Amino acid sequence: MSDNKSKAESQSSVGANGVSCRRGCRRKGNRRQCKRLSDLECGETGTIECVECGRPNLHSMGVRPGKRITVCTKHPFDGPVVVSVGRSTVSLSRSHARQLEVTTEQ
Amino acid sequence: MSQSASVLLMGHPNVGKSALFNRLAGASIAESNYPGTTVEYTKSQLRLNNEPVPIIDVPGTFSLEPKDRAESVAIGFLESEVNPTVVCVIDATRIERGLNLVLEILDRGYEVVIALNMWDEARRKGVDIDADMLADRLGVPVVQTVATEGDGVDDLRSILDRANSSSLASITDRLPSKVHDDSIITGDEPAARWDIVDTIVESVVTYQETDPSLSDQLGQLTIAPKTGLPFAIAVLYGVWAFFSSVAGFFTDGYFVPLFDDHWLPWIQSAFPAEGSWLYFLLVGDPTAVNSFEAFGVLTSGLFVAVGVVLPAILALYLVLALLEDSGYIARLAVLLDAAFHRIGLHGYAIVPMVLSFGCNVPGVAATRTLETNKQRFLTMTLLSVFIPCGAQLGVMLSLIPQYAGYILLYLLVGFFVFGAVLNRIVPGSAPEVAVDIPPLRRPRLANVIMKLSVRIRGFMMSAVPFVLAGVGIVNLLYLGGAVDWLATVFQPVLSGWFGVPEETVPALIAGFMRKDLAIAQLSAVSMSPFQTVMSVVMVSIYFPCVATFAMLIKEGRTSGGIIRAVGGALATLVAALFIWGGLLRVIGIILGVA
Ligand SMILES: Nc1nc2c(ncn2[C@@H]2O[C@H](COP(=O)(O)OP(=O)(O)O)[C@@H](O)[C@H]2O)c(=O)[nH]1
Ligand SMILES: [Mg+2]
Repeated sequence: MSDNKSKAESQSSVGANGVSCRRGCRRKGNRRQCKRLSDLECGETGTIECVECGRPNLHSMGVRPGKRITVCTKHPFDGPVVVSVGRSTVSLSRSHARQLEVTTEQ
Repeated sequence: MSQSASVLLMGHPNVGKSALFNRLAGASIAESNYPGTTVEYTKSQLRLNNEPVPIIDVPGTFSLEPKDRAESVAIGFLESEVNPTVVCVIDATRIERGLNLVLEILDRGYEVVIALNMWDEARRKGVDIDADMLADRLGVPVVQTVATEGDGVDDLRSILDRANSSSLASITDRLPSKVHDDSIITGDEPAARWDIVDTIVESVVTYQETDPSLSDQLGQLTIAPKTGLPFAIAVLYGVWAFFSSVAGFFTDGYFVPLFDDHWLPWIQSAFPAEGSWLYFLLVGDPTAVNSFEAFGVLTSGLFVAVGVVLPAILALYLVLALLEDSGYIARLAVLLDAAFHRIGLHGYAIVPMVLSFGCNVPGVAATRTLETNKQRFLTMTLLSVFIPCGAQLGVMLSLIPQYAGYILLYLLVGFFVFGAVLNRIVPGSAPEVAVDIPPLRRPRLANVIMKLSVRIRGFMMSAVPFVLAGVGIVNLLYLGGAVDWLATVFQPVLSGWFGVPEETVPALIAGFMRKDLAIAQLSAVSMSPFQTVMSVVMVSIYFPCVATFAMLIKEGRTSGGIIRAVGGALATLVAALFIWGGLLRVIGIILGVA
């Protein structure tokens, strides 16, 4: 229930989503940590907090708030980050990965 | 439902729409294991209750808000058809995102049937979907299918006339819990849709943990940089080695003796009226002892088309089909993404590029899946200038096997150098993309054979006549004196800038028709090895063949206008010809071989 609220909240806020994400993160208590997807190590898993609101096509590929996301590989030279999310494998460009906020268990 | 209302196959890319289309309509169009195979729609007839009903394989789309041209085509279809029956094809292994598109389509009031495809893979992966309950929840018929095997296709056909529309409100009413109503009230449409999807999935799908399969593990290894890059190099080298040895095996082992020892001497003596213009046109040089140099329509023309290019094309299309169907191309795209970013493209530009090695024409067409005009222009220009097609490579391998690989490398470097320059000067944006990585699959023999036969038939119908006509036209120009005249006109540039003899002019003329023919023409000119390499590079870079040029015009129209696209491509090729060709000469001079 509370999960759903924060999901709706982070989606409906347009623009300064970074701020709203961090707010969402804090509410969960301090056992969780808010990170950018690009800062996760290979093999690490997190829960998507907020996908930049202007990218609906990421949502249609299944990369959307509330979903578990695992980093499979990160490619050098600012290359793409390959993630596994909702039973599919998706390659996100580095800039997508930087804009994608996730929470991880500490 | 009116009889003429058509059936549209819609769904995400790579869910098996084309495979279902082939099964439903008995057609044979390409199915491949990468998103974006189908950029053009295909229409056929389906027999329903003994009446023909049009059925259309629509390009894949992730949502009803298009992000590239192929997706706009898809949505255009949906909107332009009158009362269509929409078959929503869903990949059962990842039902969530498929359902989201279904809801989007239902929300617009269309009549829908759902095909839960890839049912075999879903079972293997421990995904169990209660199809009856799904149908109840959604209020539309649901059928499980395995398109590649044809399972469930008859059920799908028989259920088409029960297609139904169903509003999101009525679906929400049928859901077990209504906790998510609040987001519908806030008017946040996409979020509301996803909430419905999540609730439905929760009640109809059960996931069992399964051990990762061999294909999953290979899939991981081939995409991780440390293991994937060496693997990619091995694959690409293997493709080249296979291509060159198979092509050579058939050409040298079989066709060269056949043509040189039997066909050529026979037709030289049997054809009447030696010395007449007709003899020159059809048989060519009466004293020639090899089929490359005779240069008549029935000697060199036939030999190049059937004896050299056909085996090469067959070998190349075979490996292309294996690459396409295995799902490896998408992994290559990820591995090369960072490199392509330097030239304003992204890894997925590898798809048109790889297709171009078969033939530039489908390569140019495949640029449609790229997002912006700039990306499309860059890709179609670079590939039509720098990527030699399979036919051309085949002739190169037959004439100068020891240099063919190096020439290819030099052209590929040119692709990236000119790409980097164009990226600087061409205005426009290059958006970052997210791409779907399909699972690795074992290519199906039937599908590979079907693809090969379609492409080989295409080659016989469209390319062979062009080769023969090309030989004829060059010979006519000879007879008319045009070749000699052009040779004197271009002699200063040819020998001054490129260091090649003026006898290369006929090859350059033939290059307008077919690049393979142009390279074959060069064999008749006596040149030093370096001059041969130089002229092959020139023929590759300069003017695309007519078929590619026609495609450039067609696609250019929708990629920023003909004038801009084609003009830009021509400017690039002139610059590339003089700079990249000139640079090769400088290298030759430094190495002391020019
Ligand atoms: N295992 C399995 N593979 C399938 C099935 N349907 C399609 N495929 C494969 O999935 C890939 C994509 O199919 P295609 O028809 O090109 O998908 P489209 O992009 O939706 O047209 C191809 O490699 C097919 O062989 C299926 O039901 N089961
Ligand atoms: Mg298709």
